[in-house]
Order: sequence, then C-alpha cells, then structure tokens
Amino acid sequence: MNTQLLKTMNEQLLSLDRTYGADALAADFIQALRATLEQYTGETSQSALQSGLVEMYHLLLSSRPRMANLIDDLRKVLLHTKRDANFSLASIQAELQRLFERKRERRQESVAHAKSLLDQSHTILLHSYSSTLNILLKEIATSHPTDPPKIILAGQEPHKTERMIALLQKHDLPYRVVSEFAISHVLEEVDLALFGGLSLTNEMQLIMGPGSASLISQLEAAEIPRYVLLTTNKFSYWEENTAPSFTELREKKTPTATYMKQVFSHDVLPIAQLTGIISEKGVHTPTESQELFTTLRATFLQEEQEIAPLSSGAPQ
Amino acid sequence: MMSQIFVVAVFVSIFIGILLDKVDKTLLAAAGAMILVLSGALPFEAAIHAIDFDTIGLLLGMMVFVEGLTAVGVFRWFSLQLGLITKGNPLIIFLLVSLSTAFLSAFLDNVTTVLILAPLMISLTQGIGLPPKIFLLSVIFMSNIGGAATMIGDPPNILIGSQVDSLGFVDFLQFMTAPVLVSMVLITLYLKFMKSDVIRSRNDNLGWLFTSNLMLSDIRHQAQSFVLPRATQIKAGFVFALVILGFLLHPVTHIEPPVVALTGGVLLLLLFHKEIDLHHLFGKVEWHTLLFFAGLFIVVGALEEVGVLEALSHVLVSLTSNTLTLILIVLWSSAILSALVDNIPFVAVMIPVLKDLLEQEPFASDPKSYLLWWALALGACFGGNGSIIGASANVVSVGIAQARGISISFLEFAKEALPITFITIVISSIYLILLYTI
Repeated sequence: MNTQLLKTMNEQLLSLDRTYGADALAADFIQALRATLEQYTGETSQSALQSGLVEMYHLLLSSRPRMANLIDDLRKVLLHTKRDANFSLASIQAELQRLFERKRERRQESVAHAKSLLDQSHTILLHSYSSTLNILLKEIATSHPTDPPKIILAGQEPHKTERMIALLQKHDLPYRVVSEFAISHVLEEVDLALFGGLSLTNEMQLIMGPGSASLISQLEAAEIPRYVLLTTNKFSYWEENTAPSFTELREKKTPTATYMKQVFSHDVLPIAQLTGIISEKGVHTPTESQELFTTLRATFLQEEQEIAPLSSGAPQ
Repeated sequence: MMSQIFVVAVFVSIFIGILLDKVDKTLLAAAGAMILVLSGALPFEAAIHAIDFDTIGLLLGMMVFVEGLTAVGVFRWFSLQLGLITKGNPLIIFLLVSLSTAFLSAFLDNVTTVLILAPLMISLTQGIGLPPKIFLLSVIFMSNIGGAATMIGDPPNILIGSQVDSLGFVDFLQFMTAPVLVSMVLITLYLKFMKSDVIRSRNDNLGWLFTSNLMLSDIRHQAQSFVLPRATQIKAGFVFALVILGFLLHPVTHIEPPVVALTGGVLLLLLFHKEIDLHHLFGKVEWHTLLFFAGLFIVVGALEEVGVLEALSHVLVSLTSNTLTLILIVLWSSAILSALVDNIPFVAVMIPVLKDLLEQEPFASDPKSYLLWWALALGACFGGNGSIIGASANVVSVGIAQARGISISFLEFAKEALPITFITIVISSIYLILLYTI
C-alpha cells in the first residue's frame, strides 16, 4: 500500500469532514470520483480500472476514522464492476450518478422522519452542521411560517458556528448562540436536541463531532430527548482494532505564553446515551438501531464476499 | 579624510548589522542617519534633501494600493480561482502558479506576491501529497525574476527608476522584458527537467488523481463561499488598469510615477471607502520599510557629501576604460553582492556612483553607457535569488514555509538557487553584450 497516498487521502478526507461536514464530504467524494474518471489518462482496460478502484477501496478501509458511507459508495462501484461483465468508464460514471441521487433521496427521507419529531418541539438545541440539517431547517421554516421553533445553537469552533448561523439566517429561524460549555444554563428551555454523526460502529458506538459527548451527557442527565441524524450508509461494520478517534498536540501561542493543546478528531459514545437515531428508514431507539445494524450487516458481509476476489486479483 | 572614514564606518556598520540580523534593519538605518546628522557629518537640511521622495512616494502609493486590493479580497479571490484552474495537476500547478508569480511580481512588490502565492503553492502541493519545497522555491525564484521586468516590480528598480531621470516605466519594459522572459522560460524548463520525477502530471494514477480532486473540492467550497462581487472586480480592475496606464503614459503626460501610484491608492480607497477599515489598512502599510529607505538615503547622502562615492566612481573608472567590461563587472558584482547582502543599500550606493562615473570619460561619450543601469538592475534583481537572505521575498517565503512545518535551510536553498542565479546572470550577460555590440 502506498503510505504517502494513504496519508494524503486520509488528511484530505478528515479536513473536508471537519470543515464542511459529513454530508458535504459524501457529495464531494462522489464528485471527486467522477472527475477522476473523466480526467484519467491511464490504462482503461477492465482489469486496470478494477485494480485502481480496489487500491482506492483498501486505502479508504485503512483511513481513520473509517468513513463508512464513503466506503459503502466505493463498494457499490466495485460491485457494479463485478456484476456487469461489460462495465466501462461510462457505466461506472452512471453508477456514481445513481449513488449521488440515492444520497439525495436518503437525505429527504431522513428529513421527513426528523420533521415529524421536531414539529412537536418549541425549542431545539442544534450542534452539528450538515446539508441534511439545511434541508430540515428549510422544511421547518416552511411548515411553521408564523410560529417556528426557537433554536439554541451550541457554539463551537468559530467556522462551524458561523456556518450554522448562516443556515439559520438563510431560513429566517429565530436562534441564539450559547457556547457548548455553557449549555447547562439553558437546558430547562430545551425540548429536543439534534446532532450529526459520522458513523455507528460494530460496538454500537457513535462517532460524532468533538464536543458532542459532553453535551449529550448533560442532556441525558436532564432527560431531554436527544437524537442523531445518521443515514444507514454510515453504519460501519468492521471490527475496529484502532481507536476511531485520533488525537494530536498543536502548538498555540498567546502574547504571554506558548503551550501545547491536545485536540481530538471526534467524540465516541455508546448509542445507549441517545434517545434514538433518525435515518432514512425511520426513527429508531438504541435497541431498534442495533437490530437494524445486524440486518444490514448481513447484506454488507454478502457484498464483501462478492468483491473479495477482486482484491486477490482472481480472474473475474 | 576623518569624516570620510567616519561616514564609511557608519555605512559599513549598518551593512554588517543587516547581515547579522540581530537588530531590525530599519532601526540600523535610522540610527545611522541620526548619528550622521548629530555628528554634523551631514547637515539636517542636506539630510532631508538626500531623501528621495520620489522613491518614498512611489513605495507608499503602491503599498496603499496593494493593501486596498487585499482588503477588498481581490488577491484571495485570485488565488482561489488559480487553484481551481490547476485542477490539482502537479505540472499545471507548477507552471501556472510560478508564472503567475512572475507576472504579478512585475506589477506588485515581491513580498506581496509571495504572501499571496506561496501559501497557495504550499496548500496545493501538500494537499495532493507532493513535496512542497521545489514548488515553493519556484515561486521564490519567479518572484525575483518577474519583479525585474518593470520599474515597480522590485525595490532596486524603484530606486533606479526614481533617481535616474532618463529612465521611466516604459524604458524598464523596453529593456528588461526580454531578459526576464527568456529567464522565466529557461528556468521553468530547467526546474521541470531537474525535478521531472515530481513536476509531472499524475493523471495516469487513479489514487493520486482522486486525491487531487478531493483537494479541489475544498478549494471549490472556499470559492463558492468567497464571492467577489462583480462591482468590486470592475472597480479594482479599473483602478489597476489606470495605474498601469499612468506609468506607461508618463513620457506623454509627464505625471511622475509616485503621483500615479499615490493617486491610484487614494482612488481605490475612495471607491471602496465603505468596505475598507481605513485605520486598519494604514496600520498595515510598511512604514518601517519607508523609514528604512529614508534612513538609507540619508546615509548615502552623507557618503556623497564627504566624497566617498566620487572616490568610488574613480576607482571603478580606474579598473577599466572599456564600457562593456564595466557593464559586466557591475552586473556580476551586483548579483554576487545582492545574493550575499540586502540589495537595497548596495543599489542605493551604486546609483550616485554610476551617475558620477557616467560624467567621466570615456563613459560620458559612449552612447551605450546607459546599459550600466540595466546591468545594475538585472544584477540586483536576479542576484536576489542567490541565497535565502538575497531578497525580502525569500525571507518571507521561507518564514511562511516554516510556519507550515516546512523547513528550508540556507544550504538547501543555495543548492537550488545558485545554478538558477548563474543561469539568469549568464542570460543577462549575453543580452547586455548583444545590446552593446549591435
């Protein structure tokens, strides 16, 4: 495996996820794949294409944290090359377009399920930005033109908070920002809290944005409903040997001191701490989520078995 | 005699102080100037007279103009658009960003150019897993090469153009474009050839190509959220065109370059007075650079006052009576000294020396002796590539790299820079020889 390529790809994926959110990254991933296939000048025989895609698949599997939805997309592409004996660059492009459209459908379906919950809430606590949230807020604003729910935005890193503010202003929803470390002061106002998530692991742990875990713990103690928006293609079925979140030390400078700050890429918490997951298939309690996970994992394992020969270089 | 020794000692001390880099060069120049005035080596009125306000005005005008463009987001927009056009292709990144650096350097000061393009080059190359050093070095080299093309592109040219009445913006374009263009092409080919393992398209590799497209996604997001309003583009473009036109039409309008630059700066601020925080902008003007120049002019004025520069010109005349030989001496010595020390004090001293020399025979009656100015300009500008300390743009770029975890040592820089500097000075030598003999 090309370690330099792995490192670079991993850094790019993390940077996009951190800066623009998981949904944007998923869309960027597909678009980047499409652009890649358009610009590709190497060998375009079926074996060469498969080999290149398999290499990328292994790179994605080796990235940390594992981005299950991206791996799922690439697996679908590999399945296409396995199932269609006449596959070509053009057919792969068509498959990618189909996957892109399916993403949109999943988001719409998730939004419909989330809206049914939010319609009953007067004050909603929001934490994580996502394009699904953008659609959800638009739906809320449209269906509650005169009496929209109030939004309390848990303020985090400035660029993330600013993006959330842009969304709320765009949809003309009343909001105020409270720093995530001060949320305990406003808990009694909150009817429901909504978070974004990166992935649900085999160990039934949610990988979420930094800061989510402490907020959720407070909400749990106050018995306030707390949900995470997570489509099923973000379920991560692999056995994890390494920590899903990573940490690094960054040098920070102030006028009077230079110090090292430890930062973490993600928070990891058991799904049991949440009231439920909102996916394109509905709203699921932790127990229901586990059942759904098990069902979908069986499909995943079948698909993995189907594409396994591609990795071994066996004739297709 | 004593006064000459004293003034030379002050000047040499400033030079050494700049080299040692323990004290800011502005302080050194200002302190040197004050010492000379306080000691009576140069009367105060003479000191004020020695300050070339054409140079100061031109620098100030361009600084205000450039800061204004920065404040309204023109350069950020430009770098994002440039990033998109490269499509993440290493070869296009190298060509487009390097050549854009050269072009921008011709019209903006080199430090501003590298402040815009060095971070872009680092982001693009690191973003696609390329070793950034050689790409960053190409930006540095091109900033010094491109900056030589016009009167406003590099401080040595600003000094020469402002203080030599017979040379204007058009003259710089006329005489400097050819060696600059040839150098740009040859150095680009040289770098491409020497680093062909890195500076090449990777469109034949799915993984790397995909990584490039991922990086482009980031730039696309940034470009989408950073929109430069059409009105801003038009207003900024209009003022930019006006300033360049002002420089070009100087032989006709007789409007001096500093007036053009200051007018452009003020006009830009007027057009964008609602968008720009004036106090913040004026805080970013490099007043310390202007003070450095003022101090330097006073010190050079003192050297002139006590006759040191006249003596130096006699020494040069005694070296050779052949103009072409002297041209080549000036070219190569300018290049070598520019690589080793700050080229601005050197050029500041050489201008009055050459002025004096050109009044002496046989140079006074040689119609091609004006080529000495181009030798000085080419040597000082291209020589700035010779070492990390050879030009401010080099120091700034290496600092930007350091802040991003990329370390470029003095020797590393020299290893890449010396052949390039040598090539450009050889090109300049051939050019000047051709101009002299044809």
